Amino acid sequence: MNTGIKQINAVNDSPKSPTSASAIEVAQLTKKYGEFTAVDQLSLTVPTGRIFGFLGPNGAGKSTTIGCMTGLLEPTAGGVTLLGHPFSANSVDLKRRIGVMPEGLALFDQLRAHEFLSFQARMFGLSESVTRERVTELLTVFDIAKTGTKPLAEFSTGMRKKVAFAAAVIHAPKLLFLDEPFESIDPSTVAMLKVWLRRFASQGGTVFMTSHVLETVERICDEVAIIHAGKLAWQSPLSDDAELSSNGKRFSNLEEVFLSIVGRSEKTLDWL
Amino acid sequence: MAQNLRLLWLLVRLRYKLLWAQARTSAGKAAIFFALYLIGALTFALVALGGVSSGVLAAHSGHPLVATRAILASLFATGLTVSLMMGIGPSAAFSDPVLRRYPLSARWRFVAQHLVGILDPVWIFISATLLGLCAGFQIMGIRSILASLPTALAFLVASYLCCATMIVLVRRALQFSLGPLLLMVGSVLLVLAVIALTSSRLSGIQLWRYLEKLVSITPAIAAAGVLTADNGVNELFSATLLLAWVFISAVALRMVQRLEPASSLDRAVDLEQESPYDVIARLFPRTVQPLVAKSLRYHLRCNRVRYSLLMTGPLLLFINYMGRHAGSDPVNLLLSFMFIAGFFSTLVMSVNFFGWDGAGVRRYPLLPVSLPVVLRANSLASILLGALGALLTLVIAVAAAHLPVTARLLLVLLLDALAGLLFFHAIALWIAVLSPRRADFNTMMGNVVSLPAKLVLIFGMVPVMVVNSGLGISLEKYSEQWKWMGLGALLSGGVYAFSSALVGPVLTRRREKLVEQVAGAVSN
Repeated sequence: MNTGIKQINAVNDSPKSPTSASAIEVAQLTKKYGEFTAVDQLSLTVPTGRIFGFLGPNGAGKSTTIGCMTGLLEPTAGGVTLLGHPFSANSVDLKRRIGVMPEGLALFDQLRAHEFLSFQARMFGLSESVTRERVTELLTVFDIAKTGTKPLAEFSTGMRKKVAFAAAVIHAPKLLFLDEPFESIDPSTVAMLKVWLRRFASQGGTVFMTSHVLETVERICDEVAIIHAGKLAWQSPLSDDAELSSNGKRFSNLEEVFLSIVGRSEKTLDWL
Repeated sequence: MAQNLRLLWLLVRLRYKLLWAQARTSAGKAAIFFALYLIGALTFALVALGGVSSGVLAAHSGHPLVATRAILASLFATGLTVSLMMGIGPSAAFSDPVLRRYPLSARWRFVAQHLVGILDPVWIFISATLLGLCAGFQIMGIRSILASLPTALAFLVASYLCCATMIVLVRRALQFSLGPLLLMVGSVLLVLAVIALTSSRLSGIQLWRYLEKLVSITPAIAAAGVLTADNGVNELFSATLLLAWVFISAVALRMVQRLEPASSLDRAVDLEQESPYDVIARLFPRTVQPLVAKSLRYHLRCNRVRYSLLMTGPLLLFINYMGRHAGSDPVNLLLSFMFIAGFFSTLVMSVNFFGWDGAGVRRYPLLPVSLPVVLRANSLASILLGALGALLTLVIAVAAAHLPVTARLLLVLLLDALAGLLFFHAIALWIAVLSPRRADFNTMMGNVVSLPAKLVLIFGMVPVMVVNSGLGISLEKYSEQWKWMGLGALLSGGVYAFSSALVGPVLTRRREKLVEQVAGAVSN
């Protein structure tokens, strides 16, 4: 049985390896809540084998977009194609090939960590023996094997995130959607996850992730898009030789691009 | 000090703002209706009993002590019952972990918590009644209002503290894995003791004397003793007893609040050992096995379900006993109860499957199954446990009913239980989809099911009693009518199958709405 630790040692921070086929195609995606348009005619394409960063300020429409791409929400208009197949909330077979770490993590709080992971594995069709093997491996590698009968409700935020990540990958999906995967997790685990994700992408997997930690995004992602007020505001590859520019201006890092699009808040609190 | 008091005032206001926010929901409207009813009843008590009547009783019977004891005891019972049932009063006061976010020391947090609790509506109403009682005494010349008020205040505080202590004790007990079972054993013993006592050859007067001795040291009796004392020694004794109640209750409350909640062991789990939940789930199709196992875990880890499962038997004993004394036919009574017994066991879960998942409800649309399959898996788990509850109840029923046990009687009761189980679970499917509400595993008291679910429970037994009476099913005739029971079970099965098929598309259509109702909207 391979342990996650062995895998990490075996894999270097491998080079980015884009391929031509698309893992995700979003066409004119629109999601409205009554009169409010959360996502407005968003179109983007994510090639297979890429780690795609989807950025935006709070309330920009990131989680709504992921919700529409994973079956949680029904788009008002537009379409989503995943792994070459049209996707809808009823695409049961397609769902088996994707892993999702959703906003809020969506854990069943009264289950123990091993019960939750076993549930997830069995739901995605893993056999009992493979389920047991992978659950043991994931619990060990995330250092949550000794949580005993403690329900997930009593886990810390970081531990909950580890469980949610483990649940997203336990069935070895081809496409991963991760909503803010690195926030609240300790640095050593973040480093491990980065290596995992790079290895996953180098082997043909695709990652679509949101994050507010721009330095991490810059370091790990092959391509980045910024959504602002429900609309796609910017999209660019992040290879070493790619230039970061927006509206004819050149920028030295992702944070500058982000602030130029979203705007910088100059408000100060005199009393603080 | 001034800052602490200001903070306490802000917390009391916050509690009322939260009450108002709750009142704007549909369940809140039902609570308002109940509260208005309560106000009416208490106003009546205030006028009829609290003031004038007690004076009249005192003047005419010469026993003001008895009347005052009855009033105060009923006020205490009202405070406890309403706090437990409606989730207000001590059970709604801000918990210590919540108050830790404010700059208050442990002592001030304790004060804040219980100031908020005692200023909740139910205790305000009780205060008003006490005030009326004091006014009544003043009017009738028994005792001046100024002399009565300190006693009334001490009684109020003692009653509140006793209620709060009991509620905290029950909550703490339920946090331990064996807690519900111990509570259940206590409840059963109490029920049996009451039944045995009332069935014994003691006359009413003798029984009353026993009870009087038992309750003579309670806050209500002590307060009544102060308010109606005819000599200084009695007054001093009762006043000391009342103050002792205040002091001991406060200390007891502080102590039980400090009890450590049940902690999970920090140890590894043996994954090689298969869980009984997974073994039981194998009874079902492969695609729903993980869902059924998860649902069984949720059912049996929910203290409310555990409590209902365990309480069905004692409740049956009670209804049986009361019905017999009221002259009801024992078979009709049993049939009516068995019809709802299976559903009663798991009611809180089966009418609100998704509500108990909280934010976890967002995971279902991500799974490679349709949402109606999830609903059906939950319902199957609920039916399985309900059937188990019904069978246990049947054993108690047959043992307690003192009926000639025949195979025909057992068949009739089983068919009846099956019919009820399927019929109510069919309704529960619709309630779970159309009226979900977020439920909290950690609270034992207060509202948890929606208004439609309450109506189903309240009126659940009525139709079957009517039908039984209409069919003339009684001890003499039940064996002739068993075929009707079979037909009823078949019809209920049909209703369940039909509902199960029809509710699927409805659930799929309102999927987003349901997730939003339970887990809140996606943050964008």
